[in-house]
Amino acid sequence: MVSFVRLFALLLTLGVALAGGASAHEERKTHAGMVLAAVDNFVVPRVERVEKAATALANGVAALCADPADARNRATVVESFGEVVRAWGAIEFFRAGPVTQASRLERFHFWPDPRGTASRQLTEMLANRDSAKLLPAAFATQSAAVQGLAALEILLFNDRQTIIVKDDDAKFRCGFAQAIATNLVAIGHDLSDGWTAPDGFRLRMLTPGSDNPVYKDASDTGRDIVKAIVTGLELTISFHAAPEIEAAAATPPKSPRLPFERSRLTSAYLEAELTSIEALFNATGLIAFVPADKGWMETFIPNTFKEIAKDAAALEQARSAKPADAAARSAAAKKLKFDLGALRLIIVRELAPAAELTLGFNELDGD
Amino acid sequence: MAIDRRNFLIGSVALLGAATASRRAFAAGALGPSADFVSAARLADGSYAVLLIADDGSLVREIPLSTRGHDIAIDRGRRRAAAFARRPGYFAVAFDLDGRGEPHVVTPEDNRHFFGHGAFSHDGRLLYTSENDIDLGTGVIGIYETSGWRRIGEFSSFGIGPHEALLLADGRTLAIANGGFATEPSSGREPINLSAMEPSLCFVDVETGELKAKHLLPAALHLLSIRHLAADAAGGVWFGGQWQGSLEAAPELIGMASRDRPIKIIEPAEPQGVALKGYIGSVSISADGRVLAASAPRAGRIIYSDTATGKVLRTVLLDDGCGIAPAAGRESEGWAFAMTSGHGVLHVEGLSGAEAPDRTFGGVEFDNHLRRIAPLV
Repeated sequence: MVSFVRLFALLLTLGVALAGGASAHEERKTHAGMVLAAVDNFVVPRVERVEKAATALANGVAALCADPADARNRATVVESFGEVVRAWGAIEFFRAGPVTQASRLERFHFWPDPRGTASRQLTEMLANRDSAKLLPAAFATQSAAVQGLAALEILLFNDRQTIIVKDDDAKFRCGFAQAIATNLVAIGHDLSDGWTAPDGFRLRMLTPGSDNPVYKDASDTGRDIVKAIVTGLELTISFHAAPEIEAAAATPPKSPRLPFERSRLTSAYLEAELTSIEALFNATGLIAFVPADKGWMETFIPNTFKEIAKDAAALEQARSAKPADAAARSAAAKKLKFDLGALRLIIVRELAPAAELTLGFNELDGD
Repeated sequence: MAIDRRNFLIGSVALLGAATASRRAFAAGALGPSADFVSAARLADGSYAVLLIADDGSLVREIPLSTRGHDIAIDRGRRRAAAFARRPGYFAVAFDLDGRGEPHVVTPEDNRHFFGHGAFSHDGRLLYTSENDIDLGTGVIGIYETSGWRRIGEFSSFGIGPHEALLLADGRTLAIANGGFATEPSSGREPINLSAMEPSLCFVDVETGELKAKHLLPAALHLLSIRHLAADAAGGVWFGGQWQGSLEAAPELIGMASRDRPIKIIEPAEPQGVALKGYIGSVSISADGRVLAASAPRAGRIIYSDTATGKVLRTVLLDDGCGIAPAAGRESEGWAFAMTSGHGVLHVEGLSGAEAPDRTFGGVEFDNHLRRIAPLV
């Protein structure tokens, strides 16, 4: 894989035509224009979607706990949980502003979790049955591992210990699920409000300047927007491709730990991430900055986004195969990783510098 | 894991062949000039290498790496170095600084990976490396004997995510920057559970593996990952931190401690944390021990601070500047720092300004760390 990436880098350096011809340039946005489009057309609607989806989920869990026998309540919760996962996948890679405060990122979805911390701590708290810890203020101070989607998934998608039996254990589990759902609404509200309040992060991003502690000018802000696209591409590799490749390489092959496997939403989550990364890319209008001597990128980039969607579908198909075929899963994951890596390379080494939003080698990915 | 690890190793061995051939070609014309600085870098074709550079900015030698490098440990007595793959790293390449002899690939054992840093014992017989116990997610220091480059043991780093490890002047105490959060190869470089971070600066006796002191940050600063270290002449260990919380809340990022003194965060007259984008990439002490340089690549700045007072003495602007190492300075000051950037620039600056014209290495992106090979006298 390393050699593929290197070959691709070399082709970029040489300006070798890989596909198609150049089409007419789109209008190039200013840095301020890119930021405005990214914030208002991408970020704000998505954080509002998270809050709305979390609210629907909380209502659904409350109804389920009130009447666990009604199958429609269960179906509603399953559907609502899926919508929260998709809403979260569509924005979680944008790691600036309110999500970086008060550990909201980990509290909303505790991932990665290689040692099963969410499950272990949830089990301990369920055994202790301390209702006081489920009250909103107290719950928000518990370990991040039990506060969000990872723990809620364990509670809702658990065939052995269902929450829809009317014994005391099940009631406590349902109360726990309600506490998580309520907590997700609170975090969702804090995210949404943190962006859109009169003194929120939206204003901070849109008004860089000497009196702005975070952003001195629009290129400073613009780099954070481009960085979010790159983070999204890297995160997708880390969450979806790398675990498959690592697990298949073990002797004997292991089962990879993937987000939202229990609810069977892994692929929906991946699809939400990929669709959203492309939406942010389009919102910035970065494609207008394809260098004049590399016009092939104007068709290569959208084609690569399409290819990545196909890669994700192929990975899902490989995951569904019976019996399990670790080699096929790994091959599909490697293809996904390669295409995501190619896109990252073009954005970091070609488009961002052309747009005067260069992301330095150490600045972007230091250690 | 096994296959990926093997691929890394195969890649390294293949590239070592190229390195050896290149060295022979170079050696055919005699040993030539010796290098003064060394740094990992990405080259124009996307490949990775260690670059050895002379004081005058000329490239002396390059050693290919199969993947991205990070820091380089120097064994000055034996004129050797070890370049580490960055985390999660599965190899280090040990080589002779003057191009004599074959390079060696050093590998961690199963269930361990490197974090990109290490230090030689003063007699050069041992190499200490910061490593991850992958199953447990805890930090260890690997011990390798350097005659055959075999791993002969390990001791605890007494924290999670050890990064830079620095052997102090007594030759017995290893200062260890425990970043405070775990990562796991199966999820790339993504941090695990930042909300439970507990960074620390530990002092460990390398002969016994015994913890001599462990200094923690106050609770309000638990998101400040302690990553990079430099020792001053008075036994103080300075560190540069990386803030893992909201940028707006970034605190001061530089601090110091010693075995007997707890951590003191340096508070300059004007707050620096947000301006430095919450991120210090490397730190270095001047040849006279009186000035600390800390690089902030996200802000494109290198800050010089007085180690006695903490006062900011100078701010150098260098886009994506990260590597720093002591350099010879003008007579009146007696010190300067050489610094490298992700844009291939080598810049040398003292208190009064640039010491020489910048040298730009076309297509080269220097990685986080620049090391001086021979001490300044």
